[in-house]
Amino acid sequence: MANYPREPSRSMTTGRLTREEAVTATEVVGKDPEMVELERRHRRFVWPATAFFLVYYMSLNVLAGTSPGLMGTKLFGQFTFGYLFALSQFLMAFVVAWVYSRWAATRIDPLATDLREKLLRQQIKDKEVSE
Amino acid sequence: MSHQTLSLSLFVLFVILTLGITIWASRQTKTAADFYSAGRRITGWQNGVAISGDYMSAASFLGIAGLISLFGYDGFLYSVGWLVAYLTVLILVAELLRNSGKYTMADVLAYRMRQRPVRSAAALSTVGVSIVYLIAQMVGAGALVKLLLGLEGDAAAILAIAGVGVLMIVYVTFGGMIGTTWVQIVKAVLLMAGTLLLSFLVLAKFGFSMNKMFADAATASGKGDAFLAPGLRFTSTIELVSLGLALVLGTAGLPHILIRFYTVPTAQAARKSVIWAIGIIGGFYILTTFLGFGAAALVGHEAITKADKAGNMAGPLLAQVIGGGEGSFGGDLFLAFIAAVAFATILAVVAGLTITASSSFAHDFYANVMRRGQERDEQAEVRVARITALVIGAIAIVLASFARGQNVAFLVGLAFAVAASANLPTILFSLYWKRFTTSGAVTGILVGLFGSLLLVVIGPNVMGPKGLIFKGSEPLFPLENPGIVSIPLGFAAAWLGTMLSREPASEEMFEELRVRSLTGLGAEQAEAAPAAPARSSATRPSG
Repeated sequence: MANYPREPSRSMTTGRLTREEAVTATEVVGKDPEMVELERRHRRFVWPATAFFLVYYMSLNVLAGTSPGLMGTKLFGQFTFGYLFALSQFLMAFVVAWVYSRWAATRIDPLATDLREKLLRQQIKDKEVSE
Repeated sequence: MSHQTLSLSLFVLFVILTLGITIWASRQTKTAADFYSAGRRITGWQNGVAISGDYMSAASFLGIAGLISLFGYDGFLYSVGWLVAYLTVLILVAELLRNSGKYTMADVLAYRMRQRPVRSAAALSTVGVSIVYLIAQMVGAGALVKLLLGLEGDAAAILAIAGVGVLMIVYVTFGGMIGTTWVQIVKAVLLMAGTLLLSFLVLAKFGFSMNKMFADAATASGKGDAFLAPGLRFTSTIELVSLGLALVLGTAGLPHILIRFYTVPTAQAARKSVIWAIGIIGGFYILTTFLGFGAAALVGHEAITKADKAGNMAGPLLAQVIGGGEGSFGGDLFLAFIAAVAFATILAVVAGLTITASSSFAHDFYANVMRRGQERDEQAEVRVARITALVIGAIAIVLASFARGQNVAFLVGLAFAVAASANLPTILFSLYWKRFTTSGAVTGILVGLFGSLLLVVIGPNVMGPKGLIFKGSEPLFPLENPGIVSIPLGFAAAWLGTMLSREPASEEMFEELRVRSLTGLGAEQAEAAPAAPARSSATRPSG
């Protein structure tokens, strides 16, 4: 993993940003098109993905409660629909995790790194101006 | 050699091994960042293995195998829920949390809030969730030691719980986070190896036919085809939904899992560690099929409930049968091995839980509330954390002696409900809701925490004919797992507390938090490998 560039130190106890960092960070939100785009991408993926896996997962427990007959239907041999549906949850989790990490690596990481470096440069400039 | 002697020898060997790791690690623990966060030098895959070690507790190994062996299909629902829960962690929480916090869960919750009230509430809920979780681990450990030493009776069970509890607390107070991380890594490898071996041998018994295993398990259970369908443990849809919500939302509110993300250097490493954890944990939970159905078919209902009425000993008994049965050398050897693995499992989880709860108390309550974050004294903070570990351990031992006889997976399910109710609403609102306020955070945590605990106490497992108190009357709350009521309650309280207050400072800082959590600007850095000397100058929080 790449190391972040060195930064000014901040509050030991809470780990909050220093005043300069906070000012730079706050100014950039809502103005910087890269930050707007980053938030938009994040929002558009994270909430639909969460809705998807929650609905898929909860349908297992709902069906187990409402339709034990359907869940107990043997599809082949002793393998019931319920057991195969439960196994499909594992597959679903693996696929969603894989899709998420692909998405984050291509759609989020480059933008986030760009933005972070831009903000750091901005801070250094602000500091020089104020000194 | 009798199986008592053999298992004891293996036990002692393991205890010495892990103590060695802990002592070695305690020499590496120099700064507070070392004690709490292993200096943020743990890599993504190491942390993934450690998360798995933290997560696959007595509930997963002993509890789920027991539930499946007694109730068939319904037990497997725990396996599914506990895996899918990692998607909540991965997608909504892990990376943003890594970028925003430093040592504890409260770092994120209190980021844009007034420090003292939020940190106090968060420390309380961290300790609360951890104690409920610890109770389950000690119940499992007690049952295990009782089986291994062939003890009979209630007094012996309580003694077993107390003895194991004391031993475990000792590890944590010496090892800190580096020691804990390594105990977890060693344990995860042991657990996976033991489970794979056991599953393979079970499958071999059935001529590598899962079909035959299912058929034999259904016949041996006496329930027939009903054993392969839902309904033997859970008959109410509401109970199932309640459990499902608690399991899938609880993980993202478990402080001992969340603080593991502070041990890695970057958000990308945090992501990678969840992916590793999902792979390892998912593989393990699929194998619980073999432990559970294998025990049902080969050990049988009667022998399982005779050893522990909640089924917690199904896995170790299965090992004994696979090895050649009671009294045979192979049986005793394999029982001792699996019991040692289970012991390691519990030890690692207890270590993770205790260090989390004590860190939160020392860092959030002692350093930030009692000392108001001034003139930070790292030595004192670590000392407070160690004392807290002893106190929390003692409380858990006492409560566990009342909870013995309950299934461990069920008990941990309660801890998940408490975590999802008390912590998750505040975590999500802090990270995603601009309008969120200190009042909202505090009411959300307190109502979620005490609401869920109260519903457990007035529910069927504590109150009424099947419970511990008021055996003559009906429980006031009908559900075993309170999730479906207490989780929405936690969210509603956090929302209401917010709407009844205004906090412009929190709204302003939200933007700072967004930039920091999404880009990693200003996130905590890894410390250089030979621990950097503790920085002495401390500034007061600027809020």
